[in-house]
Amino acid sequence: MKTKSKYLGLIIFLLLFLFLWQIGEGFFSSEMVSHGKTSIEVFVPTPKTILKTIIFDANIIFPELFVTLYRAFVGFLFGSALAILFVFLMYFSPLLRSIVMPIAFAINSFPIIGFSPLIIMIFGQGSSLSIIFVSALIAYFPALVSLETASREIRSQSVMELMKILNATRFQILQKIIIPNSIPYFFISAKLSLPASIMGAVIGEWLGANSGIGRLMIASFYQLKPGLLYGSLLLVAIVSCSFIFILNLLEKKYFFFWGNKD
Amino acid sequence: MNKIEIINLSKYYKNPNDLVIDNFSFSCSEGDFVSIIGPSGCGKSTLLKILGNILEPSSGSVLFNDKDIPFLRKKSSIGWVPQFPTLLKNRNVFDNINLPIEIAKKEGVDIYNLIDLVGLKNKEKLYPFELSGGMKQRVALAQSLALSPQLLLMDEPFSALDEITRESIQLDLLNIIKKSKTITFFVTHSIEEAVFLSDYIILMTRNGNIFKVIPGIKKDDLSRLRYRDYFYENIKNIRNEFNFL
Repeated sequence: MKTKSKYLGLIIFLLLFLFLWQIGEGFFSSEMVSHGKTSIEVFVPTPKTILKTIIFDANIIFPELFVTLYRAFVGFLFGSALAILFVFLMYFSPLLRSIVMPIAFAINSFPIIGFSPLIIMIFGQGSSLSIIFVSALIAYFPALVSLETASREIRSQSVMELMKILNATRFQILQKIIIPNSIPYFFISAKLSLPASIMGAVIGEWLGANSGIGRLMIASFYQLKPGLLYGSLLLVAIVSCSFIFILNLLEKKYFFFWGNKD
Repeated sequence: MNKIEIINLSKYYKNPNDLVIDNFSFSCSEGDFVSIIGPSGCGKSTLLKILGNILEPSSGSVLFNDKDIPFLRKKSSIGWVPQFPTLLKNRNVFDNINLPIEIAKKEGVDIYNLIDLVGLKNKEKLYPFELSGGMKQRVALAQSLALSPQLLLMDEPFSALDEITRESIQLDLLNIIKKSKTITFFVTHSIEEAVFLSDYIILMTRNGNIFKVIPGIKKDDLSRLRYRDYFYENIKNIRNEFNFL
């Protein structure tokens, strides 16, 4: 009941916001046209225009969106898999940890958008590989940091005293304690890195791609089609939120025993 | 008959002049329940961790049937109940109790019997987030007994429980221990708990000098023990011992 009223409040707020946007823009646009200026609608379309564009240009938008999602998802999987592999290796080798973690932090401190032209130069203009690589690079860091933190935190807990008394091997500790206890941390990192990899794919497509929603956004910007630009942006945001929602649902359904209430 | 001997045991962490345990010797045998009491930071848990081979002593030794204590740990014959139960959230009651058996790769242990023993019948499918503090401690106790340990170490296991739950678990614990014949070392802050449970009480001081080991009281009828005058007389005596510090 409490959750329902919380969502109801959010829905009412969004509807009110869209309503004010719709009527406010109509008012300002007609004022500007009457004073001989360009209508604001050229730059900021109304919610109604955006919705119409999404419906009527669905055959253009959705195929491009799916291409981007495919690249983002592959990038996310690749980045996360790489992070998991490194966390495994670092668990067995503290020396590796002392090498990998500073490098990972250093890479993360560089703006990825600055790296992107370089990556595109390496993999070639228009190549899906370059977009996937940008996405993976963005997904890699949150997964690495949260899983490595999880691994260290779990090892500092008193359950390790029990493991020592039970004479457990390092592999048993990994298999029975660290991996299952890292799952909540993996969900936290996935909720950060999955939308981030979508963002990474879009950025990669802005800089050089023959397809994808990022390329469509750039094209609609140059062709002065704000409805298409806003529609694409809106869909990317909806998809990102939907992934977080799906991850929340999966977490609550299959990992309910963590006792997370929200 | 199993016996444990602590011989001239000393422990310091960084400074050799700052002893947490100073030249302590003690021995007891199968079925004995030994409580360790003393103020916070006096080294009670350190002593327990040395007994469990989690920590190494700085000097002296701990022998179990004349063999070094690591031998007992390698045999998976030490049970451990920490202050806060270390139950794994992803495992239900049954699987948490089964954890030591999986690690030691032993077969033929009747988990349902252990569940009954600690009073959790029909609760085997519950997850830790569905259990009360007392129930979690009961699971931790069952987990510690899963490998039929010859040495059971308990570090303030009931400190977070309310008095009624605590008294009920104490009774159950004594009944379980009586059947298992294990040697139990039990760290507590409560003098009353120590008097109620123990055959021996080790009194520890903050400067690392363990100053006294006193025998426990006769336990003919556990349910009436708390109503006996000599029970409170014993508590008063222990309080007096601490006042002489």
